[in-house]
Amino acid sequence: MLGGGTPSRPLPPVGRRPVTPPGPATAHETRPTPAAASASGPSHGTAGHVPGEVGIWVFILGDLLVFAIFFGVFMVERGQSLEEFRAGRESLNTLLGVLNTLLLLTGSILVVLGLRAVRDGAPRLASRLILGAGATGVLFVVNKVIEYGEKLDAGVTPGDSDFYTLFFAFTGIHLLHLLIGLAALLYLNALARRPQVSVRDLASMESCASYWHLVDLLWLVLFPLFYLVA
Amino acid sequence: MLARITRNSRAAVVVFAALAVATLVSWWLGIDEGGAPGEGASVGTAAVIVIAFVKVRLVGRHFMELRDAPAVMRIVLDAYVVVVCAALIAIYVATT
Repeated sequence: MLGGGTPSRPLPPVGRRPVTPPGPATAHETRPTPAAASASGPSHGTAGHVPGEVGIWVFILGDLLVFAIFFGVFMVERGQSLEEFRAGRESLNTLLGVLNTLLLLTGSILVVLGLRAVRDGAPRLASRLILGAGATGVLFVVNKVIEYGEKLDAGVTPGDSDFYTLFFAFTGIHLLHLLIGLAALLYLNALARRPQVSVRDLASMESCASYWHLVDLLWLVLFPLFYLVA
Repeated sequence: MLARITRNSRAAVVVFAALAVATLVSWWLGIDEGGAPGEGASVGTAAVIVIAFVKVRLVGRHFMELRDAPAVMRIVLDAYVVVVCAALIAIYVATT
């Protein structure tokens, strides 16, 4: 992250990324230095680096609140039909769910490493890591299609029970998020391959990465609710 | 090069490993759980919910880089994790 809180100051384009061995500024995890923190002003509430654009965080917060309602609705509905939800959970393929969780976690760490590679001046490696993350996302979609297919083949439809209504609705909305996330990764990949990375490019890349992590984060709650708790 | 990138993101890589292990632990905890009617709430299921939200916080702080973000963003993340997790467990215990 170009030295912690630096993007809070207007900077000229970064130019070609550093190709020299990493100095103290890049050799460790990016924590705002005291100097960078104080440069943002004395207020403790604003010191620090906002990853990406503010707009993406407004969207992410809104999405988190919507999904919080989804989680709550799931729990309340479950309480009203315990037997139905138990049967629904037992009919799901938990192994596919675990596999999908591991896929998204892998996709997330690949994007973390990809962004690190961008900052450390390794665009080709960054691109490979980001495309690897995209591959995990594609595999997730394939798994979901197999899972939906198995259910529909078995004659299960979203209207069968409250469990399946919520299952298809919430995992479907999540799948839509994931498809948008794949588009974000393509854009992230295009930016990462640019010979010149400006501060603005970096902010766009951080926004794409944050959105991708949101897809992972939401699944980390959806998975246990449907596959383990129900 | 990849080794250097990985070394420079050591915290995130450790978090990734912890998240993967936590996923497998949750799976194991959930195998015989799930609150059959009449059995009441189970500690295992409550633990699964808590683990999920610990994971959410780790993803937010380490992958979304919120640990370096302004305090207000970190506080919102923590508040979200605590409030939503507590609400879900409360509903779970009350209705199981």
